[in-house]
Amino acid sequence: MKRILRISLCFACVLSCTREMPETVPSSPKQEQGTETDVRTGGEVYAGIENGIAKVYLSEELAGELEKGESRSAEWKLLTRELGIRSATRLFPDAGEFEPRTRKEGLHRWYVLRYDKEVEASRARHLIEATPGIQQMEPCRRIRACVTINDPNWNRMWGMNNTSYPGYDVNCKSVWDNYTMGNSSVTVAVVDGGFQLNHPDLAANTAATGHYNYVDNNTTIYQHFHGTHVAGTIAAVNNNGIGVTGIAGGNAAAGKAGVKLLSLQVFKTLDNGTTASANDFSRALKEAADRGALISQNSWGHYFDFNDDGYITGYELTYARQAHENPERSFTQAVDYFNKYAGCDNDGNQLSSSPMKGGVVIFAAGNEDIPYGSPGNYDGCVSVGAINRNGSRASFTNYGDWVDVCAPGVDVYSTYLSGQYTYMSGTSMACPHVSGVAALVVSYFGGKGFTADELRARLIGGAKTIGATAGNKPIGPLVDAMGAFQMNSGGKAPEQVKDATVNPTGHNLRVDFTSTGAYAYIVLAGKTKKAVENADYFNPASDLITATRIASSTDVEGTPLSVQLAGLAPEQSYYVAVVAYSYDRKCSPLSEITQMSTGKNQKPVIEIPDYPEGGFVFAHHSIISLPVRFSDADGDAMSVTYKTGGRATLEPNNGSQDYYNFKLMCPLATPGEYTASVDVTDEVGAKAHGNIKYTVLPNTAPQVIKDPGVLLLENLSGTGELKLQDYFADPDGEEIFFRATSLDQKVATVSLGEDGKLTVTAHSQGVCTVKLSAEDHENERVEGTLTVLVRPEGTPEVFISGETVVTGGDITVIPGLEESRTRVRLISSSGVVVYSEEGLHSAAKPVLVDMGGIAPGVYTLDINYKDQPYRYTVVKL
Amino acid sequence: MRYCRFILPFLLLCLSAAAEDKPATGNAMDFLGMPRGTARSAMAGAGSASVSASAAFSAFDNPSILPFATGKVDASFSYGRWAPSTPGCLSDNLGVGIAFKPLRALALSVAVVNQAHPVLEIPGYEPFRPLDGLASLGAGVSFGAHFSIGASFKYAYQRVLSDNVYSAFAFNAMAQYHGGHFDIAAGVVNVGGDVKSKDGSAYPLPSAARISGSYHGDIGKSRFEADLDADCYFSGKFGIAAGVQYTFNDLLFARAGYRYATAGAVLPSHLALGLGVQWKGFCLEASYITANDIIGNSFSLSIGYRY
Repeated sequence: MKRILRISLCFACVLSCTREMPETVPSSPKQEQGTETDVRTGGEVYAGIENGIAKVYLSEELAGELEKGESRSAEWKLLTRELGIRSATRLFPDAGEFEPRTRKEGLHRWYVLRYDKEVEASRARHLIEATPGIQQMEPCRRIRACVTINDPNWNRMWGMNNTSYPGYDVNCKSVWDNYTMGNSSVTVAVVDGGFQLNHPDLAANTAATGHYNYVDNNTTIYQHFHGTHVAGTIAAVNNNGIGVTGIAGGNAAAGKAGVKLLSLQVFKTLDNGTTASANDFSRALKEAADRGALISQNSWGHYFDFNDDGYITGYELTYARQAHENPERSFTQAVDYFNKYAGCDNDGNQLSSSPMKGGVVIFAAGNEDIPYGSPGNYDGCVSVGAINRNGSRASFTNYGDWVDVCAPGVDVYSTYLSGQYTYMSGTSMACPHVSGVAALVVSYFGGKGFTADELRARLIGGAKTIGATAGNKPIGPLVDAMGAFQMNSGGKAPEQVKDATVNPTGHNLRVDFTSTGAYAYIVLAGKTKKAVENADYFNPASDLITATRIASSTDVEGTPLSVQLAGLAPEQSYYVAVVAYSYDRKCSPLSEITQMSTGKNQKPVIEIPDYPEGGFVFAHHSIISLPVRFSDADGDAMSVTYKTGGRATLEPNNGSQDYYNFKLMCPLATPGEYTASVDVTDEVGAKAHGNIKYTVLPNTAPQVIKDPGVLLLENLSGTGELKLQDYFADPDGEEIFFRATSLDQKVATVSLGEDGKLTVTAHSQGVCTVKLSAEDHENERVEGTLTVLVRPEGTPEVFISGETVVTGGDITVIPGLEESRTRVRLISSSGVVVYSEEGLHSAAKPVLVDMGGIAPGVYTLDINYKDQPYRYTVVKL
Repeated sequence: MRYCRFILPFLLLCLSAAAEDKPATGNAMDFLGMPRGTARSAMAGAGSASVSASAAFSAFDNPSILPFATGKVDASFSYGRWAPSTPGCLSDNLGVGIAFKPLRALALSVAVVNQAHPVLEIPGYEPFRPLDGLASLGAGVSFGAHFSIGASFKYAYQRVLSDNVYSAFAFNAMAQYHGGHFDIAAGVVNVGGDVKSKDGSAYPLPSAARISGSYHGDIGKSRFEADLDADCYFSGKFGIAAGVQYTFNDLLFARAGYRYATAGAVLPSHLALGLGVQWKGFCLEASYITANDIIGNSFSLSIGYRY
């Protein structure tokens, strides 16, 4: 049952709050979540980022509080008020039986915040990142499917069997003929639009359960053309006499089922033809493992064509690059989770029923013809580019060294909506070719001990180089099913590492050597030479310290490599050697054993950039987030102990162990001097200590620095302007908010710009008071008055505002701009002075003649201002 | 003194009527308090107890003097310009008054005054001429050679816009002692109903309790007279006027007076001067007001006849 606990609105005495507080919604597998607003259908876009929604990684404490539905943190409440947070929901909901490993990996600390879309993105980021308890913030990027639809003029599935240009297909026919056509023990998650579960060519290979609709947060799958097309390429039923073939679709004629397709729907076509998306796809990625998938098929990517002109240029390219270079942590954690836990129990051990330990995430490279491709460029994914039927690079495919493999992606024929078939193009179509080949590999090689790393190695290592592999726009080798099956069969062990050198780094050792082109390298260190010589490399004894370096795609033969051995004892002699091995664990001879002593342990170093002598001094309105860095010359892991002074906190930045943020929301702090202390301890026990002194100054209300005085407008409908910053200032340097109200809008109206520019518009002759106020963030304010004198040219210096025939009320006598001695007398027709006022007056201080107590009659208003007489006749009825 | 039993209750009745609570607002129709008759005007409003001047306009202030001051007939026509230096207050005043004595102990008086202000032009309104008017009917009865009482009833109207006219009724009630060289009178003046403004608010007339005295003495052909009038307005204001009159051979008159009034009192402080000539029942009077920046330069001329 959905639990919704409303956080109290009360916010101490310091801040009064009128906004509705958010709901925190702890998720559970059984809950219905269809009530959440789909922010993608109407949200504003800030440089490709969804406004009003952000993913945050919380401290264990804050996550725990929110999970209980409440937070005692005043900082959290301040953030809630400032952003107008409506809800905070776990990004990765309670996974039921898989919840222990979900928590173990820290995924339960990812939350999705939904807040007021009007809040400026940069301000939202600043506030969120400065909030204690929030260790990382990621915006939610816009996502769309990589779709290019062509006319359906082709009728052959050249991607699997290219007869026009032999060799430019995935070469699955040979695998079908010699090894397998797929195995139902393998499940491929199609993270995409939902595919047609009952499509005649898919139904037999569709998983019986486990499908989920992340758009609506329920289990109802709606067919989507993109997901249906992708699913067909992977596992459309083979030899069933209808439609198309799927790479791992089994053999219906022989009674053998193909791999199972699992629909994790993240796109949905709405009734109006537009597409709705899930709020975040990371959840689907993560839950693919929990739902039994071993391969995650992803034909989608981030969307950067903000102006929809079909090209990624200028600032769009900049944002594409930024996203490419800075993968979202929630995404990478979800991918890592899938890679680690697919087919495994909560401890990461392979399930007996699973043919593979771990999973492989396969991603389309994208269709923008740019050298970037987030999020699939992440190292944890296999990124797929597209080729034409003739083997050339597809014009649209994204490219770069980060593209792992390519596959057929132009005019691909596959299943379509409502039992139909069609051609489509895009890296979205290339990607399922790779997923299909991966599924074939697992179908055949799968079993106890078969790992995702081996699958990945076969996919990439078995691919063949073609013309599109290299060049100016490389898209990797062409995936080859037969190549993956035959890779390294009958191969030999890698060559011995011959140039290993060992150097101490503090109490640890760094080993440098040159790559021999092996799959991986193990560096061993032991206190005796014999221990190293007799080592079982893959099950080392407890007296050995090892470090493994798996070669990346750039670690080709001859590449300098460096491995750090950590956890060694200070000033101790070690024997060190390196062994290389292939993916099938054929080992090279041990390198020459080198004896080397470790040095002294060096204690960690605390660095606080720009820390002033005497400590920090913060204005009371400040929101502080300052970097604090820790380093250890030995490369040791460090533990940080922080003792707060006041409200300031110290938290790791983006989960880093050596980069922390010193955070303080000064508006919540009591003014005064504080000292926080930091202790850092390395693995050996060496400590460093530092104090962070800081002073929070008391808040000072804004002040009037100059009297606004009188503004003279001599034209009706004319305007006058004042820059209110010239009249009000905050001694703290704090931003101040202005308000202006005309007390007589018949005479003049006012409008206030965001820059504090006050515009006054004249409407009728007279004088009016404009009430001004300046307020800081803590609601301390100061008020001022601006007098607006509307006196058209030709009007006497002293005049009467309003009617001269009255039944009551005031008659306003408006003198000139200068303050001068002024006498005003109201004289009856008999010569009786019934009202008299004398004093210093000006337009800012007009004379109000109360006619309420004056008997009916004709009167003379006799005025003397600056020794000049002015007379007006007024009638009281 | 046997008539005191009539006079004292009469005065008490008048005072109690005038002493009703009135709203503390300005007075309506304050032209009711302006001095009528050129001789009184020349003494700044003093002389309402004097029996030497014309009684033609006595219905406006002290009708109790009528039995002692009136011959067979006493008539007067006056013209005055009020506050010529202050355009908003300027008015041309025409007045006619007549007193006659049908019985030895009874005298009657009728008087009318019209004040016309300059035409005003106010944006949004038709040009109009404000007018003030006053009509009064008075009677005085003497009781023997020394005592008298009198009362007058007034109708006042005021037009401030072409379609805005206000009117009110008021009365004066006075009693007089007439001695050999001095006279003294007391009573109330301008007691009447409130005037309501357009918004419904009520404004009282400039009612006042008045006491007035006059003393004269003769030296040869010359007569000297001193007069004093004090008005206690129900609004709390106060005014007092002192005047002197020199008469030569009952032919020529010279008058002067000064009025002091608190702020907001009906008639402001000022100095007044006047001359007069009388021959065979006909008299010609003139008065002039000065020492006030609002009503200064006001003047009045009158011609009268009495026998």
